[in-house]
Formats: sequence, C-alpha cells, structure tokens
Amino acid sequence: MASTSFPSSGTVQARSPRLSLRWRVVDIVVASVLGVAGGLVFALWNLGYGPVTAPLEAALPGLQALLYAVWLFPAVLVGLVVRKPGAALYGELVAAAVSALVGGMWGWTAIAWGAVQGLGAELVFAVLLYRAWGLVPALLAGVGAGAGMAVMDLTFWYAGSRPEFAAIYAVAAMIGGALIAGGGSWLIVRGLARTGALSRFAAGRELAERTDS
Amino acid sequence: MRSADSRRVANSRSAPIPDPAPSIDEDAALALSAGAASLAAASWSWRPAGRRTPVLDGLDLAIAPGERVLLLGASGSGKSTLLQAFAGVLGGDDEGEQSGALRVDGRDPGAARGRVGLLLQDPDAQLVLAKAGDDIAFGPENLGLPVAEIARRVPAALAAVGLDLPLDADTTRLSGGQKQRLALAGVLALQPGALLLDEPTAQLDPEGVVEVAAAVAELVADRSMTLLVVEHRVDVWAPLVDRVIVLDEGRVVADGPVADVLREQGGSLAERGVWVPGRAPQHPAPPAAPPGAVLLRAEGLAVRPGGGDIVASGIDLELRAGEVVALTGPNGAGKSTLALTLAGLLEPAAGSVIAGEPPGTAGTAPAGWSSRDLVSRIGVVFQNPEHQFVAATVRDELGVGPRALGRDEEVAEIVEPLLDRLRLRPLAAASPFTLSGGEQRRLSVATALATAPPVLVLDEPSFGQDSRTWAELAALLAAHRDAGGAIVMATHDRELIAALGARELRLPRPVPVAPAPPAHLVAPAPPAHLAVPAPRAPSTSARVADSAAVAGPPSRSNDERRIWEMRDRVPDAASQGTDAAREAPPRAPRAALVERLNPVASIAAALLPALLLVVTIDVVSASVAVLLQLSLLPLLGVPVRTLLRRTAPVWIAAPVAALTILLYGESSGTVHAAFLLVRISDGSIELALATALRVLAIGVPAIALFARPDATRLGDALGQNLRLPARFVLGGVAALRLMTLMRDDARLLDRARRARGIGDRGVLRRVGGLVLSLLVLAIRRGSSLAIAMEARGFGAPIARTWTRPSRWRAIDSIAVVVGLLVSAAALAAAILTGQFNAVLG
Repeated sequence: MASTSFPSSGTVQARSPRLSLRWRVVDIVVASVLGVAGGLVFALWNLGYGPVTAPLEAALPGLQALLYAVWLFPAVLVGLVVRKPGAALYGELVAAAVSALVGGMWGWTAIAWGAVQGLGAELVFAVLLYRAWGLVPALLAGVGAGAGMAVMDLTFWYAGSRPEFAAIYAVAAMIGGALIAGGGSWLIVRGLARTGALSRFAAGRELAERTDS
Repeated sequence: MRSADSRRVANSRSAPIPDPAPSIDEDAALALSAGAASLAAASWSWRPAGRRTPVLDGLDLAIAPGERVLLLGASGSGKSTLLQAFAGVLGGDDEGEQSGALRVDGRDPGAARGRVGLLLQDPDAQLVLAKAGDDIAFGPENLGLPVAEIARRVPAALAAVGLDLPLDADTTRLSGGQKQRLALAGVLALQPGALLLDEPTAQLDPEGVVEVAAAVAELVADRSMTLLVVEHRVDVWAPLVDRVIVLDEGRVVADGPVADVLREQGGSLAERGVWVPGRAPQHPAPPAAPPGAVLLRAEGLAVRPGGGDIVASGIDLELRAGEVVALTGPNGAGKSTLALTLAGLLEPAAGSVIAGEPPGTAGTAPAGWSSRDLVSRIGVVFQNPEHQFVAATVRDELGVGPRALGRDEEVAEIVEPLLDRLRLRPLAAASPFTLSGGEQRRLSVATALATAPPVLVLDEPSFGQDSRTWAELAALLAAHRDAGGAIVMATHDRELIAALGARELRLPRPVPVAPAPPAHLVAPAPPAHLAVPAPRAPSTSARVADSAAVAGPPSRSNDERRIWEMRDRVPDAASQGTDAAREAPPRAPRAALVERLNPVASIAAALLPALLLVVTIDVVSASVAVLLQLSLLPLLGVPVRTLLRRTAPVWIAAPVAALTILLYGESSGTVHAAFLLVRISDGSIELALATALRVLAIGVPAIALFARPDATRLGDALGQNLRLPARFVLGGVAALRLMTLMRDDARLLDRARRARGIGDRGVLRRVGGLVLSLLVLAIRRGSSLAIAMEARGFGAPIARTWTRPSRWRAIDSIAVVVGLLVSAAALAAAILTGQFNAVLG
C-alpha cells in the first residue's frame, strides 16, 4: 500500500541533461566550504594588505582599490562552481562572516560589505539568466562585485571625497574585480576541474569532457 | 513525493509511526518502525554524468531484512556508488542516468528517508556540529522528530556505540576511532533499518578499527538492522557477516556464504587487492648486508607540532645506512611529529637532529637546511599523498624534485624509468589528484625517490592501502634499504614492520600535561550494553535533554550558566597533540551582556544604526554618535583592555581614512595647499574630522558587539530568530567545523612543499601554490560531508526540529532599539544644527 503512493523514479529513463536551478545538498555544502576557505584567505589578506597596497595609493590615490579586489573572489568563484541563483551572494557572505569570526577585524560590518559585493556579482549572473559561465561572464561578475565594493567604500570610508578620487577608486575597484576576482576565479575553477574535485558539478564535468576528447 | 513527505511529518509529529498501525504504546510502535529493512536491485544501472560507461551495470541482488553482508571488489568496482544509491543520496538527473529499479523495503530509496543509515570513511568529513550531543541530534532534527523523542534518542545512541562522553564533548578533540563511533551514533539516532558502512575503518589506527568493529558487532547481533559493509580488510568483518558479495566492473561476480566465497574466489580477490585471511601479500627478502654508516642521529630530542606543546622527549636514535626504523606507539605519542622533526620539517623543541652530508661526516641540522638541500638528502612521504602533490600531471610531479635541484636536462632520464617501475606510465598525463588511493601512494613514494635521497622518512605509508599496493610499497622500501638507503617510518602496521625487518622505536603513551578534567565535566557512564531503541531517562548532564524540556520549569539562568561553563573550559592538552592550545577565555563570574545577547541581536544592533549614520557626513552627527556610544559601551561588560585591543584596527583606520579625505576631500573655503590631485582646504579639513569620527561611530560598536559566538549558536539564531533557510544556515555551520582542518592542511601543505624542494620561494608564490591544493582538499571533504549530511536527512523538504531553542529576550530588543536611538539622536542633532550633509546627492 505504501509503495503505490511513492513515485517509482527508480525506473525513470534518461532525461535531457538540462540543469536544474534548485540547490542540491552538495551545492550548499561545497559553496559553504569554499566560502569558509575564502574567509581564511581574507583573514590572511587583512593582515597583509596595507603594505602591499600602499605604493599603489602613493602612485595614484584610489588605485589601491585594484588590489582590494582580493576581497571579492569568493563571490565569483562560488558562482562559477555552483551555478545556482544566489551562489555568488552566499559565497561572499559566508567568506565575510568567516573573516569576521576568525579575525574579527571589522566586526559585524564585514557582513554588510559581503552582502553588497556578493550582490554585485550575483546581479551579473542573474542578468545572464544563470546560463553563461565562461571567462567573459566571470570578468563581468568581477566588475559587478567591484562596483559593490566601490559603493560601500565610497559611502563609508570616503564619503567626503572629490569626484576625481571617487571615479579613480570606482574604476580601479571594477578593473581589479574583473582581473583578480573574475579572471582569478576562472583560472582557479579550471585548475580545480583538472584535479577531478568538481566531478559532481557541471563546471568540473564540462572541462573534463573537453580534455577527454 | 512532496505530499508523501509531508504526510510523514504529520505522522512523526503526532507519534513516530510511519505507516498506518494500530496505536499501541510508544515503544512498541518504535520497535515496529525500526525493523530491519530489505535492500534490492533489479537490473539496475548507473552512469554518472560525464562518464561514458556505467559504474554499475545491470545489477541484480536482494538482501533480506536482518541479513549481514560484506561487499568486496577492487577500487572502482562501484561499491561506494551502490551504498550511496541505497541511501538515496546519489543525486538527481543532473548527476547521471539510471535504469532498472532499486528498492529499500520495496520503495524508492529517496522515499525511504531515514530507513537507511550510511557511515563513510573519513571521520572528519561526517561530523557536523561542534558538540557530541548536538551532532547526534542533527539527523533526527532534519526528520522533524519531536523534541522529546530526540532527547531520548541522543543518549541512547551514544551508549549504543559504547562512547563514554559527555553530550557537550568537543568533537574536534576526539580520536579517529571515537569520531567514527560518534558518526555511527549520529546514524543510529535515525533508527535506520539498514546500516551501510563504506570502508568505516580504513582511516583508523588498529585501536580504532577494533572499537568501531566491536560497536557494529554489538548493533547487528540481534539482526534488528540489515548490515551492508564495504571493506577490503576481510579479517575484521568476516566474523560479523553471513554473506559476501563480490563486485567487479559493475556486476556481481560472486555471492554466497563467507567461507564458500573466500575458498572459491580467495585467489582472485587477493589479486585485486582484497586482504583475504590466509593469503597475506608476499614479504620482500630480508636485508642482505648489516647496517652501515650513521646517516642521521638524534640526541636528547624533544618534539612538538607547529605551535603546540611537547609531545615526546628524551629520544635518542641512530639511523644507519641499510636499515629501517619504525616509530611506533599509541595515538598521540608523537610518532608523526617525530618523523617530521627527523625530516627537518619541524624544529626540535630540545636536543638535536644531525644528518651527515656527505654521509659519515660531522653533519648539520636538517631543520636549518634550505628546501633545495633537503630534497636531495631526505625524501619525505606524507600520510595523505594529496598533501604533497604540487604539479598538474603525474609526469611533472615526478620532475619537481630534480628540477628544484637544477637538473633540468636529466629530468627525462630520471622520470621515465620511474614511470615504468611504478606502473604509472598510463597515468603520466593525468592530474595526480585524479588517481586512486593506491596509485597516489605509489606516486608519492616515487616523487621522494626521484632525487635519490639517502634517507626516506614516511608517515603511516601503508595506512588504508589494499594488499596489492601494500606489497608494492614493501618491495619499494626494501629495494631502497638494500641499495644502502635508510628508512624511518611512523607506523601502526605490524606486518610492514615484520616485512622490512624494521628496528622498532616505541614511543610511550603521552603523559597528560594538563590536570585531569574536573569531575563535573564527565557524565555518568551510560550502560554500554544498552540497545538503541531501549528507552532511557534523559541524563541530567545531557544538554540536549535539558533544553528539550521546554515544558519544564524555566531554566533560563541554568542555560546561561552552562553556556558560560563551556566557554570557560581549559583545553585538555593531553587529548590532542596538535594545536591543542586554543584560546581560553578569561574566567568571569557571569557572562558579560555582550555574551548573552542573541547573535542576531548583536548583528542588528551593529548594522542597523550604521545604516542611519551613513546617510550624512558631518562632524555634529558623528561626534554625537561617538559620545553617546562611548557612554553606553561599558554596559556591554567588555573589559576596557579587551575592547581597545579588538578595536585597534579601527583606531588606526579612522585617521588613515581621514588623511585621504584631507588630501582628496571636497574643497571649500580657504585652500591651504594644492598640488596634483591634492587640495587641502577648510572644507576638506572638516570632512576629514567628520570621516574619522564617523568611522569610529560605526566601527567601534560593530566590533564591541561582536562576541565571537560559537558557530552552532549563531546558526541556531539565524535559523530560528531570523528565519533564514535552515539548509543554508546549517551548511555554513557544518563548513565552519572544517575550518580547523583547513588550517592544519595549510600548515602541512607548506611543510610538504619544503620537503619537495620548492619551499625556498617567496611568500606570495608559496601561498599562491597552496591555495589550489587547499581548495581541492576542502572540496573533497565538502563533497563527502554533503553525502553524510544528506544521508542524515539534511535537505529534506520537511520542517526541521530545533532542539536548541534560540531565545529572543527583552534585552535583545532593547539593545537594537538603543542602537537605533543613538543614531537617530545623532541625525537629529545634525539636522537641528543645520549640519546635515547628505552623502547621496
């Protein structure tokens, strides 16, 4: 009696591999794990970013935002790996929360930055209807995350700055976002796919198939 | 499917009876639902997406309720896949194609959630929450069981696996065997009808193997559960099972009683790497020559893991050419730490390690050598091969050491023969991470041999290996020994010690450094013979049981005190050698307000007022906010020194941001200086002051309100008070548990790079190289954790039970409101004085 009320999906034939936008458990857990790893990278970067970016700032004020894009990579990375709505936002949020939990450097404010930066990348993936995951979408998502960072920094840290400074800062943030967060994440995903670690993800299988043939 | 699930919820809410059954007393009903399950496959096939051939192909088998079955087969024969399929966690249509039928109790496995319990290999990739009791409750919570039922099951499950732990025991401090038994308890709390074990002891030391096997034997003794276990150590499991099934290339090739199958198939099984009793792999010939010159000498050596306490001391050792020394001893005795210290990867805590170069000369300390020198003199093989891989292909991997030595022209001459000798040629172009466990082991030994170092140091080289890899490993090591090399290996493996004729250096059981834990931390031992379904009164020390008693007398103050006690615990250094030194918060009679706030309240009180403050940039609002906050901060109860230390970054960042605005801020009034983009004016001076104050007004409370909540408490609050989706919140909490592991991984990866000869590079290149390996390890653990979590009902479309109520108290609302009032007052002051300076527009 019980067996009749359950669909016998065991006998379902192969369907077209159209990917569902619903999050699987493995999507959630791996997105979380990548976010946590990103948070650990943030914690290291929080300690060392000052001296690294100071020369840029001295060369052209606002240019330091180029390298601040290190704080943006989990958004694009998690988006590219998981390919589900909300992945970029979730990855960046987890990374921000973890960096707060580990270092506590900016306390809870890190979460606000994580949310807006993640949203920047998320919007790009959403505009592309969660269908495009190549290098160009990755770069654009990096730009989106960079724009989010510029908005946050220019309203919080540099609210009183002149338009020239703000413009340099915003452009640098977006270029840095594209190159470091976008291009960097794209390269990381390719590297990960080659190791077979992403075999449960479309991102990993596509690359494996390409190198197969 | 959804409606079926919601029916289950309705059932389990009223009484935990899954199917229409006469309503009798609760225990009888539970026993009914907990009967053994049947498992069946009818010409079932599974082809994972991205593979051309099925992993399992037209599989037919039937396992009756209560039957105990050992599943054997070479690696890649689809054993793990089959277990995951029965557990209903193989994934949907995205992940592969299936045909034929698979049944649990005659139903689709996905619909039989909770009927099948799955235990995986890696103890670290199965535990979800930080405390033992919370972790066991995780599965039943996912199934939406009533709180009282969960409170009953948790201590019973813990007792059933013979674990004598308090329910609030920290899961990171347990040994491998304890962790694995705790994971088993988490599975048992689901009261499954079938227990599926996927190489449950492959990553355990001999002590842990015995613990886990004994716990399982106890559980299946009365046939109340069906058992299906995948293992290549037949001797451990043969006494426990009735039947053996052998898979090969996705099909059943043998099936029958243990003795019959082993008699008929023993030879071919042993060839495929199965450890068949009575068919031990061949041992290499004993050493031909007596030991020669001393290659490495340790005197009065004391060792400690990076950043940890001394784990072993007073060690004297002479390692001679042509001999093998085995470092043995119980867990935590410091075998691995000693091996890494001898290899020059850890600094000795006391005493000396001296190695001769060339052999026989006075020698120097390996810890002081460059990475380049090290790789030519001491080869290191790590317990987990994935820690030491640094290249994109197997061929490049073998060339890393020779290249580091600048022998670029000879690389091919060294690498190509190694590829053949270790049967790695077909894999030459593959990524080392894609190799099977045995292949990875061969490769890791080969990379160490590539630079022909006189000394080899190995950490648990035979751990979890099948008999075929084991025999190859023993032969390789014997060849190194007979060629005049010396070997030091940390190992538990008696057979390997015998096979290599190793001299044994036994480390004593570590003496506890810290005093024994206070009596109140040790729960009264539950009777070990207690079977799972047996009802048991909730233990008084059981936190889950306590907090579950929501209907009982108000226990708020008790709750608070308990949380504080747990934060106040002194780490037990003896229980774990590595990184036991965690932060011990200072003692305090009562938790500070900031500790008692609901985490969601601290987040809201930090961020919502900030949203108001950022709308304007002016001196009045910022200074009013700072003054009010400074007068209110003492109420949080954070000691001034702690607060200053934590907020130090903000006190530095505020003037730096102000300087930027001073130079590049909007100018007005008198201009004092102007060059390039810089324009210092009256206006920019005022804005700079406003910026500094505003950064403080937002940053200081955000940090002051941040009390480093433990992940479980934060997750409970986000899920219950903020009502964020439970799946995401718990996914994040589970991942946070892996953070400590990731940090340890990062340390090991850095050491392994030194051992591989590429540790002399700059910090940036070293960190860059680490990131990919770290992510691979993290994703692997994450993928395994996802399977374990899903098998425990995680992600089911069921309203989950929260056994730890996260309370929102009046003080939480007050904290948020006060924060908002401060910002409102600051804005009002700015508006009234005409200083309001909108940021937008």
